[in-house]
Amino acid sequence: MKANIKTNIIWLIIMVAGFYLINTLILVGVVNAFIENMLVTIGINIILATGLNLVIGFAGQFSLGHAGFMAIGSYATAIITSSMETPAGFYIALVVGIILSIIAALIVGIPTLRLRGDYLAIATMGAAEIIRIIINNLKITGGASGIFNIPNLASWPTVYVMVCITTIIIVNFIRSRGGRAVKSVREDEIAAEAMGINIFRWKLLAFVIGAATAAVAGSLHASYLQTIGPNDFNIMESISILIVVVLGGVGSITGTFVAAAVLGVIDTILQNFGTLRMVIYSIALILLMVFKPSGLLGTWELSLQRIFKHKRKTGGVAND
Amino acid sequence: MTSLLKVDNVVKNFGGLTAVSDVSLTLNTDELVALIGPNGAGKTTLFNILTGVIPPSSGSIVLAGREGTVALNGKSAHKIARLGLSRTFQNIRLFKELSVLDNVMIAMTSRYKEGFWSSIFRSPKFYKTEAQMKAEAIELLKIFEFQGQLDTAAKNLPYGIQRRLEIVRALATKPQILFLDEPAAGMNPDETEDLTQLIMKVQRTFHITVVLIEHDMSLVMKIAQRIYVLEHGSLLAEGTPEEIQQNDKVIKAYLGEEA
Amino acid sequence: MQIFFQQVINGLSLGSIYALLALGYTMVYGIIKLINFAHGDIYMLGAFWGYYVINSWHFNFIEALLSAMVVGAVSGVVIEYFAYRPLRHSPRITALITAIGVSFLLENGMSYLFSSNTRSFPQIIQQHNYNIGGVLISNIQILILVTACVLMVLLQLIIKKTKMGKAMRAVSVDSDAAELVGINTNVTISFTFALGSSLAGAAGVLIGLYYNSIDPLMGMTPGIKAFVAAVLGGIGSVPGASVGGFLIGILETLFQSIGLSAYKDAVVYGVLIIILLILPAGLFGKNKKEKV
Repeated sequence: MKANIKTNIIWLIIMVAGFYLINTLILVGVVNAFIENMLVTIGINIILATGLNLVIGFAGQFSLGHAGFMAIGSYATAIITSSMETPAGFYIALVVGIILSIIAALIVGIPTLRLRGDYLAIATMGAAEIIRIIINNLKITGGASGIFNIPNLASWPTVYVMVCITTIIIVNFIRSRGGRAVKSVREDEIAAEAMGINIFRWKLLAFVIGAATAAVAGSLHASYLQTIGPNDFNIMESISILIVVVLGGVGSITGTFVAAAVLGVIDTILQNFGTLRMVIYSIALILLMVFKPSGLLGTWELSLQRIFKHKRKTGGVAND
Repeated sequence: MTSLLKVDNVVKNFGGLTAVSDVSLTLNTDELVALIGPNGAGKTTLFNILTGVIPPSSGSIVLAGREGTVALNGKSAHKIARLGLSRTFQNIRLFKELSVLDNVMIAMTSRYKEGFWSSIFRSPKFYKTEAQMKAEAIELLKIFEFQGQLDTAAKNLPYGIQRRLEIVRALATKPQILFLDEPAAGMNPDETEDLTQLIMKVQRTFHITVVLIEHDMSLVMKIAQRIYVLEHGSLLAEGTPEEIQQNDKVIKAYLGEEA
Repeated sequence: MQIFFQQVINGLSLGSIYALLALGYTMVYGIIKLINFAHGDIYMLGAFWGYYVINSWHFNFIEALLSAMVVGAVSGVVIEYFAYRPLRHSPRITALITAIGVSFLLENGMSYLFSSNTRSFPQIIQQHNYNIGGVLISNIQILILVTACVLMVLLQLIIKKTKMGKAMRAVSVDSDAAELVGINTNVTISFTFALGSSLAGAAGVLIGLYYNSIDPLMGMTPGIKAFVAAVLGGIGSVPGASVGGFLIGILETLFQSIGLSAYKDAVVYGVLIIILLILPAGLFGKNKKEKV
């Protein structure tokens, strides 16, 4: 019990310290607008990819439709904040986006989560495309040209706090009774059922949490970039979220953070390369996968409790 | 000894094939029953029907246990598991990548409620429930000598120990009836002997009904109080080990017509 | 009714392209359980090859088609050898990401080397329209349909009648067992890639003739649609892929003709999802139940 509180407090300190570190770096001018932009993109990708990692890495459900839920969050924010240009408007929009994406996740998930493996991937991809096509043809969403001049109500601190909150939700879920249930579904559905696990319910819950966090990311994306269009949420977007997950290690939230950061930095550096950028990116992707097939971190997870244990065992000398 | 599970005229057809035809049997409280029969007799299929993995084509299965009298046919596997029917699998189905402790705690999922928000916000209730679950799981694992291996991934355990863990996992659901599907398959005589002791210990310690499918006749004859014999999907005989050993039909089924 | 038949004719021509592509997806998936994301880009390579050889070397249709098939086959084999073979025993999702990487590489590599401009495909065959009872059908449509059908029949013959086809079927059922009975799985997998990719190369030339324009990103959307077609037909099933391809082609043109062209892709995905919910393994797929 004491140890739990201790780890929780240390995590809180780390989060606050991270905030002040970035804040100071911005004040000192080390982090300029360009790098701040990169950090925000990394943050949004972390939210998207941790949510998808819950669905794919922990629940074992191969979803390729993450961008669809992100789109719902984005458009909810764009439409609502365009007529309510206040921070309150942003948070109302955020909540509406989350609720709508949860409803969409239920509509998509209840029938399709009975499918397995690649069939589920294709069905969810199709569902996300249907969402995108509907958005592409509605008046309220601005059709194919999208929505411009969305009020900027989400600055980097908002993104930072949201990264912390969504990560806490997902990590705490994974490390609870629900997380164990969800992992058992990934490991062996038949055995899980025989142990009294309602596999469908847990799959759906993981899917819905993933969709809700994607909506948060979408909301931040819309408010920070101030311009969105249906093509921001196509199959390629779902795939790029998937790439973050697989590159970091399917089933490792720490890996997702590392991969989102690495890809964010690579992407920023490569911007100077013009058309060669994507060529280098794709070669890097292939090489990383061929030489590191289980991702950068595999299923390794950063755990303070393990570090403490290690310290105690080695008599306070923590090395390695 | 009172009747716990009544199976009446259960039939299972796969397309044109009848895997289980018109099987009726009764399981009583606190007894050890064996289900034997040649390969392909429908033993595992019967297990799958009773534990809800597949629905029967017809027939009725009624449990008169701690939750009163409940019809099981048509219920999904997880509901049946919660009502107190647990099992192991012929081809070990542990949660391979997960630790020994997690394997057991997963089986306790439905008996403990943590609450979604409570676990997200790490409320005192969450820590309390988590500690209770962990304590119960460790206690159970201790009985079966898993002390030093709580954090070992299930896939890294030796084969015989994996079979043992599967039994512990099944017990963690607090079953009234435990179905063991060929627990001695692939074991050497020493391991089989350990397993025999283990099954008897389980049955005596927890006072539950144990049903096992087994091909190792010495094991069956040693521990079973009653035996059901299946052949070609139907019940061939029922009785004590002595009765079954004397039964002409059973001898014929096992040794062929000439015997 | 005339309009309907007209759309069916148009749908069949488009569908035959999807079908040719879907066959490659289904064969590769059948044998190594990989969604070969780069398959659509091999079709793009075929189209570009056709463009260059017709313009620079003055190849005729048959020459262009056959050489594009060879180019497709060679690129498929090379990709498999370098990008997929090292990952054969890795998690499937890793191989999938690699395939996506290869797809990005082909698309962006071609854009980088030859610019991303859209080019108009040389019209080696003069288009004629025939009017059959009010339904217009062009010689190019007939050519596409006939070529596609001939290739599909050839493929079926290779799979059913040749030794290599038998090996392919064996490896797709159980590659370990196939290896034990002396089948060289590496060669068989390479051959499968060669076959599938040659069909994609052919489809590239055919689409060039049909739509008259090509660009480095042209493989993306038809690639995804063809994969959907393969899933619809039951992935791993060769007749399923053909039927799925034609079905999607017809659906698309029909919805386009009734003024719902903005929603045509949504309809395709909707039909896909409904079919999967009724038949979880697609139209011709075998639903494998796990043995307990």
